[in-house]
Amino acid sequence: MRKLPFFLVLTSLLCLTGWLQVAIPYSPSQDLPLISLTAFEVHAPDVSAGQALAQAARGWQGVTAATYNVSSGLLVLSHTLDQSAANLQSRIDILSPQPVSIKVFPEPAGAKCPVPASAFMLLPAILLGLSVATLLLGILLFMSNEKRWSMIQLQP
Amino acid sequence: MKNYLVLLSFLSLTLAGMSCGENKDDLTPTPSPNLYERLGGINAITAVVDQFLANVVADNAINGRFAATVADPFRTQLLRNNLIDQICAGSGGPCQYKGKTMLEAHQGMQITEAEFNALVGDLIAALDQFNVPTQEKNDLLAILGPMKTDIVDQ
Repeated sequence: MRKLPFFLVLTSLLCLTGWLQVAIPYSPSQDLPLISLTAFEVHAPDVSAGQALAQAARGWQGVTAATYNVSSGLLVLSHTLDQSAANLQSRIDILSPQPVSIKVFPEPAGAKCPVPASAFMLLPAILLGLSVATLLLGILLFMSNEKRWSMIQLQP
Repeated sequence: MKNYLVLLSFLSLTLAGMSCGENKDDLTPTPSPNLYERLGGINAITAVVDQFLANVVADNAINGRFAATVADPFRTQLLRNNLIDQICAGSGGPCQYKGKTMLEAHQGMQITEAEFNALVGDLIAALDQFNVPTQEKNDLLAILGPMKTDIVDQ
């Protein structure tokens, strides 16, 4: 039982080392908000109508980029996650003369990475959180152990 | 009186030395801004990368390659951050690219030259969207161009 605080502090140091490995050196891109890319099948009647849609979308809150491709008939928006695809679709529907649908890309064939991308993205936060939590737990356990031992020693 | 004269001459010499120093500093040429600064820093690079990714996803010639990335916002973010870091670091900015090497990242993908050219076209369109001057555009493409051998036909 007395060794537990030591192991917790050791785990904390290991997590801290891991966090330093992935988070340092710092890059400003680490602080950027998550974005999503959504493609809408618009098929505007002409190029200028499609480009006007993209231009209008660029001014919407949460939209970081917009483009209309004439040959594919796709309007693609890069947007922050607080703007849902459905919400953006309803806004495009108002401006577009034709009905708009969200393009679903076919699942690519071939091998997939078994580790989800979210694990890579959340790894620094998980490591730092674990490091702080285990350090605090280790200190608390150490302090309670010391108190218990001192009380035992005080007893006649 | 003699002490005052010594002090006065010492002060005048010090001031003369300082003024000479200032003149010397004035003659030193100020360093010219690097490509990162000329591009407009991290916010400008982020805007160009977002536009580039939107162009790629709208491009039927290559968007099938990015289907899995589009489906997962975390994958989108990983690609976005890697692109930003790569351009930022390559242009002399305060970033470090932490992703795989281009050879590792594209191994087994068998990307054709036509697909690579379509990707470069989408990047140029994104740079044009933000009116990036020709000099800066060429400097950036010169940094990214040598990566072609590690991407095509791997």
